[in-house]
Amino acid sequence: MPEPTGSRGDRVSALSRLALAYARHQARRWSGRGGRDGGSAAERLYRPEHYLALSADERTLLPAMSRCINCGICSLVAGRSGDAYLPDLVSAYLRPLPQLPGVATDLELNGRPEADLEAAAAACPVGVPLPAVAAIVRRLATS
Amino acid sequence: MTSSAHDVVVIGGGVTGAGVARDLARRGASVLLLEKEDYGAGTSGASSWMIHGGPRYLEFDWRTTRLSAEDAGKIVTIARHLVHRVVFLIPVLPGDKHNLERLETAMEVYDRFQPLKLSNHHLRLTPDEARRLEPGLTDAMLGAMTMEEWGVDPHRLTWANVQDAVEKGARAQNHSRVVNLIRDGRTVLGVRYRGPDGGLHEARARVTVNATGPWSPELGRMAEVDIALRPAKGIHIVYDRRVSNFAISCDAIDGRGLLMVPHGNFTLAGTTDDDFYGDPDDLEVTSDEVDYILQAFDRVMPSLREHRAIRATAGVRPTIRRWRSYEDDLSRRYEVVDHAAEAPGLVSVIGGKLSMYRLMAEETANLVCVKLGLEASCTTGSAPLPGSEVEPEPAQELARRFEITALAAARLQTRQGCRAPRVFEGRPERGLVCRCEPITIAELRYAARLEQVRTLADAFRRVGLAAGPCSGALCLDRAAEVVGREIGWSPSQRRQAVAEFRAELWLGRAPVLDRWGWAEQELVAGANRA
Repeated sequence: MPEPTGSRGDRVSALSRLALAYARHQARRWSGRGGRDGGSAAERLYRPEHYLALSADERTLLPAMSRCINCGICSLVAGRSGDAYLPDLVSAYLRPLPQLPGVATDLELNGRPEADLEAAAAACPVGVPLPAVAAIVRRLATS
Repeated sequence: MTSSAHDVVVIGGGVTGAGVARDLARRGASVLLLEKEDYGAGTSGASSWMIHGGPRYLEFDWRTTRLSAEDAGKIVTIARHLVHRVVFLIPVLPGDKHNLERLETAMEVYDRFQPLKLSNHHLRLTPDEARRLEPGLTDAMLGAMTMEEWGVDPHRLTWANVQDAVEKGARAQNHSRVVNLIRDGRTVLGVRYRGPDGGLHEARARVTVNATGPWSPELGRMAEVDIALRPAKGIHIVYDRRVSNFAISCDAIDGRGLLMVPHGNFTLAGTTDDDFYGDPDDLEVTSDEVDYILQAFDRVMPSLREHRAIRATAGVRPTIRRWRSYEDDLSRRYEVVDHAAEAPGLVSVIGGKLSMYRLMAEETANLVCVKLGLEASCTTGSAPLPGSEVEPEPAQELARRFEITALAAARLQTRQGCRAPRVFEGRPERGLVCRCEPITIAELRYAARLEQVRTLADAFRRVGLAAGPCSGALCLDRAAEVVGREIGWSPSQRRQAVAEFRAELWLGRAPVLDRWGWAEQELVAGANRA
């Protein structure tokens, strides 16, 4: 049967074929052959590709993390975290989440002490929770 | 006035025009591609950044779905470094246009097309499973499906087509506006255009291709041919980061389907679809359009309003004209029109969508080749685009070799693929010019030198300058210095370039700024005054 191509007749044909597919689908459901463990399958398919990056708790913090206005005060107060300039943790690193597992080297401290993130957060004029940001970025980068 | 002669002049440097130029150049034709602004700056760049098969066309137009899926598979293969998998999670709520069983039926039908574009079949999720995968989804959900599509950077995709065309002998010029057609009676013999230098030039050609999208009727009028479109305006809201694990779809108040798609390091939410009768060069995003999108996502992902929108984009779809259809029901089919009867020498390609650009280009090139007597066959479905020839090295290796951050290396590879090391040849300036993306000075210099970056807006499209949360607050002056040094801007031209780009950015920012955005805007304005 040729595929529909957009004319009125073809639209009727398209809808008819969808109706037939619907009947088949319902028959499968009623006969108990329709069920699949979608949640586990999705975990297996998409976790290795890092789609499931953030936990629910981390997700709720994300809007507050997006407030950064790149004023740079945090870096004046606390310097760098590894090689990363502090505002970059929010403005650059906490963005391409599936790519973060490849960038762990940027965040290595190499024997240097971690920046005083609590002090940096206290100085932030818009209230970005920098310790949480750094923790999430490090967790993702080393996952 | 300078004059040149070619087999073909392609007017319009969107992805379709670039694809036509690439196809013809690969078949041995001498090609001139002219774009009035920048490559991909119009409809292509304002799209949803999706290469998809379009399951919603299954209700109208299965052929479009099949063609889209087949060609998406080809694009995914030839542009590996520019595409990324987009996994949709489609929640079903009480009162939605499609209930779970109808939606799964559509997904089962769509699954037949998925292998064509190298995608997995759908999965059905309970509400708990869906919320575990995507924590922000509403409690009112009855269940959900997954569905795979592909995302693509349309600016780089367009440029990669231009680049390949040029490497195969074509000439391509952005900022070159066609002012009229050279005609002998009704026959079209080429174009007169104003080049980037402001000078008037003439290009004669055996065939002239009109690939100007929503500007097609305007160009048609130059040849006294009627091109009937029903243009539709669409806007998207851009968020500063990936605000969800998966792409989410939802029904708008009028039943239209909307999408929220995390791409690379940002999220697009949209789109509207309204008949548009204005000037496609003069688009404005209204607060009503923004509210229409946000209202739809309030139902499925209420937290979206808490996230930071950084700009809105607007574009006009060149939909083929048809009466008595809602905008959203109109097919995204395309036509290659031979104007041999009323304007010999002119060919138009109209309609279509990003997913089918390569196929549209192939069919257009086929017609042009018949006219030119060229017998070479199309190779654009199998020949990799520049940057996708081989698998790129690991980002950390690239970072170590050129002493840049691994993040900068990874982002660079999403634009340049296996050709990323080339940007460091000559003067390897490793410092960052734009921290949010991040972009090295070397990459911006490379783009200005070899990728026809002539304005800062061109740099936005080519390398992502100012595309991040700071929207240029920190990088524009530095970027103007780098670009200016490369292409010879005077200090006043650099200041003017920054002012012009800030004004352009502001048009997209104003409709979506929240209080943090305003705070940043104030900070930048203050810094500029100081």
